[in-house]
Amino acid sequence: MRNSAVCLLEAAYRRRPQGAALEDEAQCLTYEALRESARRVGAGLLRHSQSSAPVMVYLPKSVGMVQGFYGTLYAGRAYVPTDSAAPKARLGRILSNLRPSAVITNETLSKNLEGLDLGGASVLLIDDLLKSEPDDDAVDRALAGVIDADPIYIMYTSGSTGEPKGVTIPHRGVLHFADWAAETFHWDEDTVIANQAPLYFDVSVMDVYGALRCAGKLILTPEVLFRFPLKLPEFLRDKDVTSIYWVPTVMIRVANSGALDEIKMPKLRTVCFAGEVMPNLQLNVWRRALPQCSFANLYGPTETDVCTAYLVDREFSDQEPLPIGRALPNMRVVLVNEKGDVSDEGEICVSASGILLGYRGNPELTERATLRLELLPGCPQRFYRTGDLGRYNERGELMFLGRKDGQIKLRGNRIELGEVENAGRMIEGVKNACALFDREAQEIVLFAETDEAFAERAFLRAMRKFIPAYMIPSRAVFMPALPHNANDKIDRVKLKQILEETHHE
Amino acid sequence: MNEDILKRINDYVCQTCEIEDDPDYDVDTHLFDAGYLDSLGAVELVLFVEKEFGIEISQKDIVMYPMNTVREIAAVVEQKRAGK
Repeated sequence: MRNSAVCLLEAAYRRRPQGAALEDEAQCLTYEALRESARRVGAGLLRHSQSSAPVMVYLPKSVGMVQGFYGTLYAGRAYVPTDSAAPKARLGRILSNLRPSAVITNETLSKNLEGLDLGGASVLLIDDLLKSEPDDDAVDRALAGVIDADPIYIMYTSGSTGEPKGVTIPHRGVLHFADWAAETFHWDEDTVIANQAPLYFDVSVMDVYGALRCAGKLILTPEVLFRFPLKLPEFLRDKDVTSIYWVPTVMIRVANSGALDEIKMPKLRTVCFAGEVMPNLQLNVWRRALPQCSFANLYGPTETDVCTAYLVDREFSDQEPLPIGRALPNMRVVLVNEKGDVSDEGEICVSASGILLGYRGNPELTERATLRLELLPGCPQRFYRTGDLGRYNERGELMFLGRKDGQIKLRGNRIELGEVENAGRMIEGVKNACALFDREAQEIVLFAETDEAFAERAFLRAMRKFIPAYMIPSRAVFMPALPHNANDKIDRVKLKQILEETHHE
Repeated sequence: MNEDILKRINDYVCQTCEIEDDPDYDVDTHLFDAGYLDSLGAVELVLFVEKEFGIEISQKDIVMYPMNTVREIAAVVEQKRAGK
């Protein structure tokens, strides 16, 4: 009986104790070593912090970070993967919403926690936890107390008011997804997965648990390689990688680099992508270079993880859009129109036992994102409203149409423009700010109302104190007054015109 | 440090990243963090360096050596040429 996702690690250990499990630039652990070390972390957590509240894992992407995840699960708690480059202000907001039982970090990063209100959480260094005395009785007891409806992780995503939202996901969502991926792509013990997504983004969940599910190997691809996409195929070839799940931005860069024509990757069998629209122009470059591979377009927000998938099964012209496919087995996906009725076109709404339990500490927000539909008479069910719009094509496949609101996707990152505007307003001398997404140039432009003469680059750099680098606008436009419309709201239409004029200069 | 290598890479970066007389920029500026170079620019830069100096930069080099500033890139070029 699998009550916790860490049961996948137990099973993989039994199948392949001496098999390679987890690798980064510095080390490679076998399943035996991974399990043993994670159990030590679990024992250390149980010894040094009593509450059953979640554990923040605040580390750079590394073997240690994953040991922190599994260790937390062995202690029967949920973990919160946290960006090691997060600005201090954001870290503080997450901590005050989270109220963790402990923070697992390293010596360098622990200094960033100074001055923040930890609410009594213990700060534990991963190196110390890895040296903890094992305590299998305590770990087994903690693990036995978990049910699969308990939270496994909380991931913080961009919130429109500037407050990050803590999406809380239960174990069974992860177990379900890992089963689906392993069965769909026929993963076995020879599977080697090369991770790209940051471990605090849900795209990484398939890497972290898919590898366990098939007792294969997970490689945390050195992040620096993603700055040099030309060299990524060489890495996949050298490491005998069989499966990748990357954001389209990276896939597009690799396709455009020309490296796919040069480097052969005979072991690669599964290529998945999600997080934003994958253009067929570049996907076709991949498909021509790798005819032996299965390609899959996955769709799903952090709140549901992947809920639909399209396994590429036919030819597409470079200009055609790719479907997002059909609901995963054991998940229900419906389109709801403006009248609130299930329809052929409308907002994508998702129900399943593994979707979010809620936004941490924010029942109002959870309620607003929830729709109750009575598709089975007498039995209303909870659906998550994604805010994404979709329609069915003539084959009955779902097509993604866009967003209902101010949320955008940029290089695979989910960003609320409201959070960007909020950061702009935090800069001294700025009276108001409005962020627009320039679809053509794929960049965020911030309009700032100010009387001061800011240097653009320095201004944008200053915003890094408040929001992560991926949210920083590409351009800033300074004006003494933002235009307002008849309702006295900021005139976004007028600002869009200004934006377009600057294009044609 | 070979000044000629440094200068040739610096000239290329200044030209392609449209750095004119930006007071914040010099050969020790982190090109990615400071927003001068994105991954698209990095592809071009690697291709330029490989062609210009007749070397090949492998994925292992990129993982092993920092290549974030013009000076760091020049150091890798110098080392590769010396190793030939």
